Amino acid sequence: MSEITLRNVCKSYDKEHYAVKDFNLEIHDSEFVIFVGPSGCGKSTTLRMIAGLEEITSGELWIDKQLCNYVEPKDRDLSMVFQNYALYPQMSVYDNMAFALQIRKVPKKEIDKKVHEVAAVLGIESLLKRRPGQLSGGQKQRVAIGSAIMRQPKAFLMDEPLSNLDAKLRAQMRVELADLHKRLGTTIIYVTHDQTEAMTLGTRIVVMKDGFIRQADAPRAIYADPADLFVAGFIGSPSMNFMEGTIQKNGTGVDFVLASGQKLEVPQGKAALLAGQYADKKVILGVRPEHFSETLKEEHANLDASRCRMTGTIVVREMLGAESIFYLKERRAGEYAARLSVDASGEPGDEMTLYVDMNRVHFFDADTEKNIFYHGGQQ
Amino acid sequence: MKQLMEKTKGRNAYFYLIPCFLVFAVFLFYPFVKTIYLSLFLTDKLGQAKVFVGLKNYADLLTSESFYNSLFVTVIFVVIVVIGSMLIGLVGAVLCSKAFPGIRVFSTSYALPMAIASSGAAMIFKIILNPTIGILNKLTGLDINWIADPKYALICVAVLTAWLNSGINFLYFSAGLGNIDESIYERASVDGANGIQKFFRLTLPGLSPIMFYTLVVNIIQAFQSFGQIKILTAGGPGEATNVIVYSIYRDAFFNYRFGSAAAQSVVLFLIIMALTLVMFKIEKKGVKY
Repeated sequence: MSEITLRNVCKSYDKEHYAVKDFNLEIHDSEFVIFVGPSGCGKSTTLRMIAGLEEITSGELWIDKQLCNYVEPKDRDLSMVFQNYALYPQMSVYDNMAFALQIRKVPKKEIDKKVHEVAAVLGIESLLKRRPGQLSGGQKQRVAIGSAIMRQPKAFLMDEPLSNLDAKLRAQMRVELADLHKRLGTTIIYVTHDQTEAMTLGTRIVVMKDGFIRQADAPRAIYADPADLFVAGFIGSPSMNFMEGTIQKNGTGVDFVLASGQKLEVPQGKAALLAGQYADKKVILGVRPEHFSETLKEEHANLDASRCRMTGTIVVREMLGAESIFYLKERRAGEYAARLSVDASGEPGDEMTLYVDMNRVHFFDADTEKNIFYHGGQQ
Repeated sequence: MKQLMEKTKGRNAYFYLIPCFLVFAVFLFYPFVKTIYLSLFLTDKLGQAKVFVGLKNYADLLTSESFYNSLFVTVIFVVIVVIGSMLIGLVGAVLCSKAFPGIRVFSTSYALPMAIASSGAAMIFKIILNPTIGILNKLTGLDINWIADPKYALICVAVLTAWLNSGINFLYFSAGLGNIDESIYERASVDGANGIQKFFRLTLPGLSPIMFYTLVVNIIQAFQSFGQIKILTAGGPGEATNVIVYSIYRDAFFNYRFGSAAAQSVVLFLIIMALTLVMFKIEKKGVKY
C-alpha cells in the first residue's frame, strides 16, 4: 500500500545539463505506471532516483508520506528488476530468489516455502538448483522477477526487463506481467522504450522526452488525445502522419489546405476555433494510419467527398496478415502511411485515393507543436 | 613436394616448439635432473659428484633435527606471509575500488611493493628495526631487538615478505573486483543488503576464482622467499628464520654439502607440488562461479 510522489525532481550531472527536469508525478497505490520515451530521455534515471541508486539533485521524493531523498536504497523497501537482470552469478537460482529474505534473517522454513511458491507461479521450479550462467534469457528474466516478488515491497521498479528477449517471448512475458500485476496488486513502475509494452501493460503512461514529462495519462487517452506532436508521433505504429498546411475560410466552412492544394474540410466542432485563431496560418495535421479509408464512410455521407480525400502514389505495400499498410507519396504533401484492410487493392506505383476521417484527425500548432484541441485528460 | 608437405603436416607443430623447449631444457630440465642426480651423491667442495650414497642424503635429512626445524619455520613463515599478503592486497583493492579524488596515488602506493627489490626493502627494514636508531622502537617506545630476538625475527621477516608480496595481490584483486558486475551491488542495495553483507555475499564469492589463483601463487612464492631473509636475518638468530630455501643455500655454499642441499631442494619441490595438486583438487570441488 504505497503512494510515491515526485515533486520538481531534477537530476543534473554537471549542474548545467539536466537529465531530468521538474519531474512531477503522483503515483497511486497499485498503479502500473510506465515511463516511456526515446533513449536518453531520463526515464531510467528517474527510476533509479526512486530506487535510491542515483542522487536527486533537487526536488522531493515522497514514499508513503515520508521524504525519501536521503534514505538509503536498502531502507526504501522497494524491489527492482534490472535490464540485465543483475542475478548474483555465484548463487543458485534458489539463493538468488532467497537473498532478499536471507539478509532479513527470515526463518529458513519460511524462505523455502516462499521460494517454491513463487517458483511455481513463474514455472521455474525445475531451475532452482541451476546457476544464472546456465539459464536462457527468458529463464533469467523470470528468476529476476521471481527474486523481486519474493517480498511484498512498497513498489516494484522495472527497468526495461523485457528488452533482451526475442519478440515472441516478449509478447508472452507481457501477458504474464499484466497477470502478475493483477494478482499482486502492488504498485509497479516500469521503464521501457517500447510503446507496445507501454500501451498494453500500463494503467498510466508517462511519456518523456529530454528529461521532461510530455504527457501522463491512461493509454487510451494518450493515443486518442496526445498533448503534442512528439507524443502523437511516439505512440502508435506506424506512427501518426503529419502534414503541414494552412487554415482557410471557405464560405460557411473552414478548410485545411495541404501543400498540394488539396482541401480538407474541418469538421464543425473544430472549425470555429481554427478559423478564429489560425486563419491563414500554418498548422500541422495529424492523421493516424487507421483513419484513412478506401471509401467514404457512411457517417460522412453528408460531407463533400471532394473535400476529405487525398491521393498519392503507392511506394510500398506491407502485408501484415490481418491488414495491409500502404506507404504513399504525394508530390508536395509528402509521404504518409495508411492502415487498410487486407483486401484493399493497389500495387506499388499505382495511384490511390483515400478518404480521411476528419472527425478524428488532430491539429497541432506549427510553432509550439502543441495539440490545439488537447483536452488534458478531461474527456 | 606436396607429398612431403602432407606427410609433415601434423608434425609441423613440434618444430615451432623447439626454441621454447631449448630454453626450458637449459634452464629447467637440466638443473632439475642434475639436482636429483646430485641428491644421490656426496660431493666435493666444487659440487662435483664423488661418492654414490643412494638415499642416504634423504635419510640423514629425515633424522636431522635442524631439517625439521627448517620445515616448521617455513610453515609458520608461509602461513604468516600468505595470510598477510592476501589480506593487505584484498583490503587495499576493496578500498581502492571506489572512485574518489587521489585514488591513483593510493592505487600506485598499494601496488608499489611489487616493484621493490626484496633485498633493498630488507636493507631499509634493517634500519627501521634497528634497536637503537630504528624508527619503530622510537615511535612505539618499545625496546625490542627485533631482528636478534628469536621470538620476533621470524615475524619481522614474514611481515616484510607479506608486504612485498601484497603489491601483486592488490593488482590481482583489483582486476577481480573490476570483473564483478556493478549492477549486482545495485540490486543488493535495493534488496536491502548492507555493506558487510554485500562484501561477504557478493564481493568475496565474486573474487573466489582469482582468490584461488592468488593463493596458489602466494604459497609458492612464500616458500621460495630468499633475498629478504639473507639480508635481514641470514637465517638467524640461531636457526629461528632458517627456512628451507635458506637452509639449502647454507648447506650448499657455506657447508659445501651439495648433496644434502640437493636433497632438500627435491623435498621442497615435492612439498610445493603436493600442495598445488591438493589445491587444484579442492578448487574443482569448491570454487564455483
